[in-house]
Amino acid sequence: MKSSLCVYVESIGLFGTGFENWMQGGAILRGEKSFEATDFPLPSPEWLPPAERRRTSDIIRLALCAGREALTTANQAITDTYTVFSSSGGSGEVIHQICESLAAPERDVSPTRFHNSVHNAPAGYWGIATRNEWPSTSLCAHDASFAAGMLEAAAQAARCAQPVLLLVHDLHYPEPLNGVRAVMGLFSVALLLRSTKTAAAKFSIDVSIGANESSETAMHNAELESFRTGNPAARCLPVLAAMANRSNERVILQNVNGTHLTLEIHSL
Amino acid sequence: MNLSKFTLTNALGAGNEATWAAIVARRSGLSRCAFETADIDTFIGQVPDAALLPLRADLGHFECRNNRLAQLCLEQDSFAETITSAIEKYGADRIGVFLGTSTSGIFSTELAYREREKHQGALPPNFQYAGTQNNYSLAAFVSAYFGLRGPAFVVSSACSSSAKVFGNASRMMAAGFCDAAIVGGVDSLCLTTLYGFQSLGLVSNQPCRPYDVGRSGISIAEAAGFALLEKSLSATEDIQVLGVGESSDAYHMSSPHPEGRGAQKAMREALAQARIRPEDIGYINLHGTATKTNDAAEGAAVAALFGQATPASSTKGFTGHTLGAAGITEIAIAALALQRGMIPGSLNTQVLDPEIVINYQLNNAPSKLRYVMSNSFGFGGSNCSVVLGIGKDTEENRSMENGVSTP
Repeated sequence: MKSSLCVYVESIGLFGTGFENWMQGGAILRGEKSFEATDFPLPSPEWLPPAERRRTSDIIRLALCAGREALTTANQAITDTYTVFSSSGGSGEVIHQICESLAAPERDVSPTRFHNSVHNAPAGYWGIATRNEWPSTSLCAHDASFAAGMLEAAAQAARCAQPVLLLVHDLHYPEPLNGVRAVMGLFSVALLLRSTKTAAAKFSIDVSIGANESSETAMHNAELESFRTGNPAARCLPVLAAMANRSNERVILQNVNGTHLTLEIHSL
Repeated sequence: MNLSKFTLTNALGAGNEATWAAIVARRSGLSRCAFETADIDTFIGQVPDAALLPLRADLGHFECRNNRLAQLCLEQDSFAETITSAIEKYGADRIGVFLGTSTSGIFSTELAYREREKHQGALPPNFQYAGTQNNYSLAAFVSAYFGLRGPAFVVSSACSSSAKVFGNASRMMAAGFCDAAIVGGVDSLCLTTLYGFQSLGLVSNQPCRPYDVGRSGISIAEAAGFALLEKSLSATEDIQVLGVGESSDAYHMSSPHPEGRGAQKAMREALAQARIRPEDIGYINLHGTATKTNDAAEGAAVAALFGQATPASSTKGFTGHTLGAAGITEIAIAALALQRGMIPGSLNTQVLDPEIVINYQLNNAPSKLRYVMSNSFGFGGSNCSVVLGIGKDTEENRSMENGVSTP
C-alpha cells in the first residue's frame, strides 16, 4: 500500500550559514544573490524570560530564531501549534563540555549544561517562550533528521486540527567531536504546516515514502550542494529552493533504512 | 492499536517474568552505586555487565553499552521470533521502528574523551560516532538487527521518550506509512546522567522512596523494553493501546509545573482518546520519580482528575528511574498488571506524604483490571500518559465521545 499525505505550508523561517531569513534566503535560492558562507551572529532570544535567555545554548538560539520567523510571518498570530523538532545531534558544544568535565578529576558537571544536554532542550525553551502547552516531539534520524521530521509533522498534521510547526536544526561541533562527526556551519529551518488548505496556504507538499531507487535531489549551485550534504538540516535546501522559485517540483530526500521520501511541491 | 507483544529487561532481570517475579516478591533491583568509576553516594539499578554480551558479529559498528542492553532485551520473551513472523506477515518495509532514548551510547564518548591524550587531543580512531553517541543509533541498530526497511526514528524527549513513541507509531500507522511498529526504548548507565542529576541535587543517597514524606530524590537506573504494535483487530484478547496523551508544561526546563498542569492535560487527552472516564481506570502507574517536586506536582494532577479513588503507585522503588526507558518499562509493567490481575504496591515508601491526597498503594493487591494508565514526564516539560485496556469488550464498554482535544 502506497500512502501519501498532503500538507500546506503557511510560513517559513530560515537562519544559518549565509542565510539571514527566508526573504534573503529565498533570493539566494532563486540565484538573485550569491551564497556566501558567512556565519551571522545568533540572535539572542529576547522573547524568553531573562533567566532562561541567559541559559540558552547555541542550538537553542538557532532553533528558536527560525521558529520565531515562521510564527511572526504567518498570516495570523499562532501560538497554539503542535511542534515537531528534529536534529541530527543537538548541541555538540554542550556534549563536549560535559564529556570534558567528566574526563577531568573533579567531574564538575554544570547543572545548566546538564539540562541543556537533553535532545529536547530547544523544545523545552520554545514552550517557555511561546507558552505553548500543546504536544511537542523531538526526533533524531542522523543524516535523515529533516526527512524524519517531515514525515512526523505530516502524520501529526493529519491527526490534529491545529497547524504543526516543524523545526529542524544542526550546527558544527567543536573538536574533537568535529573529527568524528563533521557538520558544516549552522542551519535552521521552520515550516508552519497544516493538513487543510486555508487562505494562508502558500504551497502544498505531498509526502510519501519510496524504496531507494532514485537518487536524492541535489542543488545546482556547487557551494549550496556542498552545504546541503555538509549539514543534515540543510538536506531540505531543494525543498526550500522549489518554494523560493515557486516552481512545481518533485524533491527526493534520502531517508533511513534504504528508503527515500518523495515530496511533490506545488505553488498555490 | 494492539500491543501484540512486549518484553522488558532491567535491574530486576532479563525478560518479563523476572520483573514480575521481583514485584510479586517485593524485591528491589537497586544497589549501592558501583558503576564504572562513578564516585557518588547513591543507589542505582544496574544490569550486570556480564549479561551485556557483545553484539552480533555483523553489527559491530553499533558496539556500545546501550545497544548491548537493546540486544539482550530483543532476545527475551521470544520477541525476536515475533518480529520475524511480523516481517513475513507485513513485509520488512511495512514495519516502523520508533524508539526512545535520552543518552543513547554517550558512555562510549565519555570513555573516548579519557583517551584524548594518547591521540593528540583527538578521539581514538576506532570511535564510532553514528553507531554509539548519536541518538538515532538505537533505531538504526534495531532496524539492522531485523533487516527492516520501513520508517524509523528516535524520539529523545528525556524521561518521556519511550512513552511518546506509542503516539508516533499510532500516527504513522494512521497515515498508512507502516502497518506495524516496534516501539520502546533503551537507556543505559553513564556518567553524564549520574553526575548531571547529582549536580541538580536530584539524586538520593538511599534507594528511592516514591511519594514518601521523606523522599530525597531519584535512583538512576538502566533498562530496555520493546513492544510490537499492530492495527487493532476485532475479537482479540490482546492488550490494546487506547490513548496516548501528550502535552508540554511550557514552564521550566528541569522542574514540573507545581500543580501538574501539563500532567493533567496529558492524562485528560489519553482518557479522551480512549473514550473512557477517570473512574474507569483501575490502576495508574505513576511517573513517581521520588523527587520532592515531581511527586508533589504529579500527585496534585492525579488528585485533581481522579480524586482519592483510583489506585496508583510508582514502581521506581523496584526498577529505579530508567530515564528514557521509563515509559516503556512502566507501560509494560502496567500491561503485566492488566494481564495478571495485580496492582503493584510501591516499594521503599514508608510514610506517605500527607500533602498528596491520592489512593497511593503501598502493598501488592489482586484486582481485576480492565483499563490502566501509565504516566511519563520529562525535562523540558515533556509529558505523556498512555491508557491500555484488555479484553474483547474493550471497544463496546467505552462510552465517551472521542472529543477533539483541548489544551
